[in-house]
Amino acid sequence: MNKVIKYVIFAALFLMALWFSFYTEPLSVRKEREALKQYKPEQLVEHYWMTGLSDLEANALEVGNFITALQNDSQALRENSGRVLGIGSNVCYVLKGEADDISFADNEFHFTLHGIEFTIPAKYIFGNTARDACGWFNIDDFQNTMDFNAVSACMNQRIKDLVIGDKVQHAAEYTKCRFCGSIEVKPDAKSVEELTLYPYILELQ
Amino acid sequence: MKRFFHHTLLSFVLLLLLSSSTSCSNHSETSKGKIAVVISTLNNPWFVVLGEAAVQRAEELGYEAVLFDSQNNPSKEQEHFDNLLSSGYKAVLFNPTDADGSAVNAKAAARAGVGVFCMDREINEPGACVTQILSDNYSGCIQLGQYFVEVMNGRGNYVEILGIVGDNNTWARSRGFHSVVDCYEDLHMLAQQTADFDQNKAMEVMESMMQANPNIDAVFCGNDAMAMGAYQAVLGAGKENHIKVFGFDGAEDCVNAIREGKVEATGMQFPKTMAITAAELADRWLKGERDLPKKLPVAVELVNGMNVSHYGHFGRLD
Repeated sequence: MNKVIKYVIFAALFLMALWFSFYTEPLSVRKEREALKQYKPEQLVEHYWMTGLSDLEANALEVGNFITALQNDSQALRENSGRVLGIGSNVCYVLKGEADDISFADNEFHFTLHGIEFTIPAKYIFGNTARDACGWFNIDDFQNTMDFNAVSACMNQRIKDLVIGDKVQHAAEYTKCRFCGSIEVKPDAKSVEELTLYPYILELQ
Repeated sequence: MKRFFHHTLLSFVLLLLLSSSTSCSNHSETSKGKIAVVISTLNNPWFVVLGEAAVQRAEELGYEAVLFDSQNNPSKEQEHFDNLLSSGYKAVLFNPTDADGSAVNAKAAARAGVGVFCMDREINEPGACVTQILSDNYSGCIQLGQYFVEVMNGRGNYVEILGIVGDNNTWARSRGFHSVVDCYEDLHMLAQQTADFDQNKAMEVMESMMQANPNIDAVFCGNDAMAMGAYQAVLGAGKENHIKVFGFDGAEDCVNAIREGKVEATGMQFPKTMAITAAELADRWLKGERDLPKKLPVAVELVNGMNVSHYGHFGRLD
């Protein structure tokens, strides 16, 4: 009896060794598993966009308050509400407001608010302003700067596809807008006349 | 008289010994320890500025600083690390040769308790370094790409000369540039080749690209040394009035070439800022501070014919 148990154990061990030596799996399963390990900036952006947008809008600066604070104490404004990526970088802010003289020309929306000429690019959205202003992403959390920069590319694409979307096709019909978006100003700026806004939220009427 | 002479001589010798021992003890008190500055290559003026600025700042902070040249050779770099880890260095201000390959050296230093501070070039092992101080190449090349589109009026044929393929800066620059330029359908890239950030190689690469593609309107180069090499090739072919050259770095010869209208634009990096920041962070780390940023980007500025008067040797003039 003992011999039988011994043989069964040996056979089981032999089969296990055989299984792990020659284990195969379909290529599709393997690829799927590898894909899960890969870094996906789109998912990261989607996650923060879905969970962080309302807080971002709630904490955004009204344009009028931003201008007053910039003129009165730009250093305090920078420390309290601005975000700077590194040495010598521009300061990014999230602004919100409503405008009622919106126009569209050269693939850009234009409006003036509190004396500042705002431009919202609708066709070409470049740069890191949207990524850096929101404060959702910390460069230290990324394996390398290429991964961090991929977030910018995804955010810009999302703004172009979903926030601006097909509003361009009906641009001539709109006169009013409500927005929440990112801007950047030079580190030593005490006033601004023109700003490019990269919107997280853009409602047109 | 003889006795007086002996006494005087003895006093003089004692005084000399005393002063020499005081001087030695002063030296050991003033030096806070040794810092190594390991640079990927000193064959490029940009890296010479980076290395020398790092040495100078480390010495100003009271350290004995020694400069090592890796000659763009990872095995040479490893030799330097083997050497400095057995020679009592406390920190390394490090400009790596390869984003992946150099990680081994940084990890070995970290295991030995030596602080590694990367300058300009990144390694893909953030945990091995205390801080990485890097140019914001991606943003810089977005600005350069936007200016490229403006100069080219949104149409034309161009070629790209890449830096070292294993260096993250090469791809950060290329991707930043393409994130803009690829949006314009009438801008066509005819060829893309590497010249390893080397001026002579870039000249050869540009010559062969011009032979294969006689209709090139512009060339974007991943650094200024390659831009100057490409310009030499363009000049040799008599096409200097047609082919527009764009670089990246802010090297003195390239800034002068912009001033003379030979090169269109470059991205000004600030090697002295990076080197000084690295040395100062190393000093803070050696004094016990541990709450330092892991990555610290340094902004890049576009230099073109309109603002070149504000820029000089690897930095702003004002």
